[in-house]
Amino acid sequence: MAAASDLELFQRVGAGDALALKALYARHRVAIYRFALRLTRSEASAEDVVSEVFVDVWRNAAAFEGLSQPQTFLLGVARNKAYSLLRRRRDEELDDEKAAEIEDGADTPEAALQKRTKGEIIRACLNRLSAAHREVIDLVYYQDKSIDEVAEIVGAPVGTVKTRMFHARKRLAEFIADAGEDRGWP
Amino acid sequence: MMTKTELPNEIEALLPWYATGRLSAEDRAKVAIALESREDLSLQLRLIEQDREAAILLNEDLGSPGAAVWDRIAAIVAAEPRRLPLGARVAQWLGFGAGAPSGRLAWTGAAAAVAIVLQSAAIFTLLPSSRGPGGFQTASAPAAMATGAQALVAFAPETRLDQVGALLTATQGTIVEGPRGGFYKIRFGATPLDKAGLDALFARLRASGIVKMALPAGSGG
Repeated sequence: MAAASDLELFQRVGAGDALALKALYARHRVAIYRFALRLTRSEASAEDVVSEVFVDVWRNAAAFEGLSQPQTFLLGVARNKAYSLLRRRRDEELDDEKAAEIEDGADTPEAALQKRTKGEIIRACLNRLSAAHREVIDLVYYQDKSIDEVAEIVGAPVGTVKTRMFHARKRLAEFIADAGEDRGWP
Repeated sequence: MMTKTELPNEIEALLPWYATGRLSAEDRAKVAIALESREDLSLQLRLIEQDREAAILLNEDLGSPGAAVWDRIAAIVAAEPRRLPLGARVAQWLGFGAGAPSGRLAWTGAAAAVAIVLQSAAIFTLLPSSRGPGGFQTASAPAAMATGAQALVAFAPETRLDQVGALLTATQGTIVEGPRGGFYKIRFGATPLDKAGLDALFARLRASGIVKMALPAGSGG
């Protein structure tokens, strides 16, 4: 028996079907949780994002019967909620753009140097990227999103997405070089 | 060191999506041709594969939300049940609606279906306005599909889902397509609007504070 498509499940949620909501949750909770966790760096905040996303879907799905890409839509909602949490957590005066550009000091260059394998070094350096760079890297490399889908999720023009991804790659390469791993680029 | 103003060339900007197989055939061909002659691009592609592998492993280590998350959602859902109008539910059960269960979720039962059909038939018997010229017709059957005004609407980037939901509820709007190019096609109400009605609708959309742009898109059908 074929599984219901995301769109079918969304339509059923709009019709008040709580089991369809549970099916949607089962299908997308991990992707949304990990995306939110990478942005917020807090398991509790990521879980808050997940629950808020699906409560919103329950309350408003009837208005979204024509969604073309439900998972992309869900990630976009999750992103907005994650940034709202980040904004509340950080300086209230920081706008999203500035907050997104702050690079993380959790994994310092010294910490990255202590990693043994190249893969460990790269993972440590991925954690040092700003939220804006982490999200585009994750959406492309882990969530397998196309350029148009990333643009929809982050609410930016396609050209901006391509440029941001390029800058994220460059910044990552610089962190990796700082950690003593010369890969010959940039 | 890379500066903010430095821009990638077209091909190297496409490399990550070439690696993930998410490019159009045309762009994919362009990248493939460039890769044949440019060693620097081949190096970048190898690095992208390393970075991608690391990003996947990093994410796969992040675990899953705890069971309490669904419990929280389920509690809210239980406190806020929503029921479709009876006619629409019957249409779904009979397979007229796009969201017809089709037996895929175990929430249907033949006895319940028969009961609702009987209830529905009784209600439609009591409501002359629901009878078409040819006899019985459900609320969501094709002949009764909405023909309200349609608009292409782009929302402001920081718009929250609950704000969109509130606007759609207030304007009897339903998203019927999209987003495409950042625009959603939205149907408003079930009857066409005259010019004054359209002007009022667009004024209301623009005054909402969450609509970046709204354009007429004809009538639904």
